[in-house]
Amino acid sequence: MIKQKWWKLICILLLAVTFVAGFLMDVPDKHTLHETIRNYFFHPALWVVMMVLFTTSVVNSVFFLRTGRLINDIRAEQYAKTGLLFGLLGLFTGMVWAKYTWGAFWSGDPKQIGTAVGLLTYFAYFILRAAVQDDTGRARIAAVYNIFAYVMLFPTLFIIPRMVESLHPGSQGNPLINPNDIEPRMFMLLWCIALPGYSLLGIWITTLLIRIKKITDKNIL
Amino acid sequence: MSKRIVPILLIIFSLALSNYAYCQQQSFHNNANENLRLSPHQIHYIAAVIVLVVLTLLAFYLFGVERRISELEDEHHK
Repeated sequence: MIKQKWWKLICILLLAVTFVAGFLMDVPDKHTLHETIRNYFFHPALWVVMMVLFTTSVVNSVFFLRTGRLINDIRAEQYAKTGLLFGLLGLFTGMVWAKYTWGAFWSGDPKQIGTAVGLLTYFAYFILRAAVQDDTGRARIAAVYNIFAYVMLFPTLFIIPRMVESLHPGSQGNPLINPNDIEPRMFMLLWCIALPGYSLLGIWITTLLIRIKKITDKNIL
Repeated sequence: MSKRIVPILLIIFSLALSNYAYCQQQSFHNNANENLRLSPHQIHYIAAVIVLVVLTLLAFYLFGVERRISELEDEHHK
């Protein structure tokens, strides 16, 4: 019996619309960007969903520290896992885009370096979890570290790349992020179709991971 | 574990494909790849169809996993 099937079907529908419209709709022909402006429908959405998932993860870590319920620790771990997946996909889509606009997959741009640091901080979260055997102790240490890793995302992804010279859109007057250069329907497709679609996919995968974990760890819950 | 990696690979594949498609068209605009046999619009149509097929496979896979999890949960509750 599949639980709450309706929102999963909506997720598939939204993603289908995103991909079809993302590929086929007319886009403004901007200098240097040309058709790569279609990355607007894929790359930023993955980052936003990553932040949504990491935020849910850290909220669960805080709940665990307050209540001591291990189910919150399981949720925190699985949301962080899915968030990391979306982060890697965001990095990957950005690298392919960079190849065709900046000339290289990796050019040492502050945004790229900040992203790598932020994601490596989350990789360390999983290494830390694997290093502690005691369930309660692991959950407590991981919850504290999760808060640290989440806070670290803000300087590495949002603050430092804006303080230094960067090729990334949003810096140095690149037109992509300027709302005047993006047609309203592109904006609508990203925020009203793509983002809810990717978010529901992330939540769907995470709920499955949580249910698997609850079955395998039933003895500790 | 190998089954869990399947949806991840499907997502990566579809996103890689989407990137490939629009970057191909970008190359076309830059005249860097004048030997393209397909027009940029044809590439986009083909990519959209393939990604939709992958998306459908992903949906079937996730529904299949969910059904199996539900069965296991029922067994645990008995």
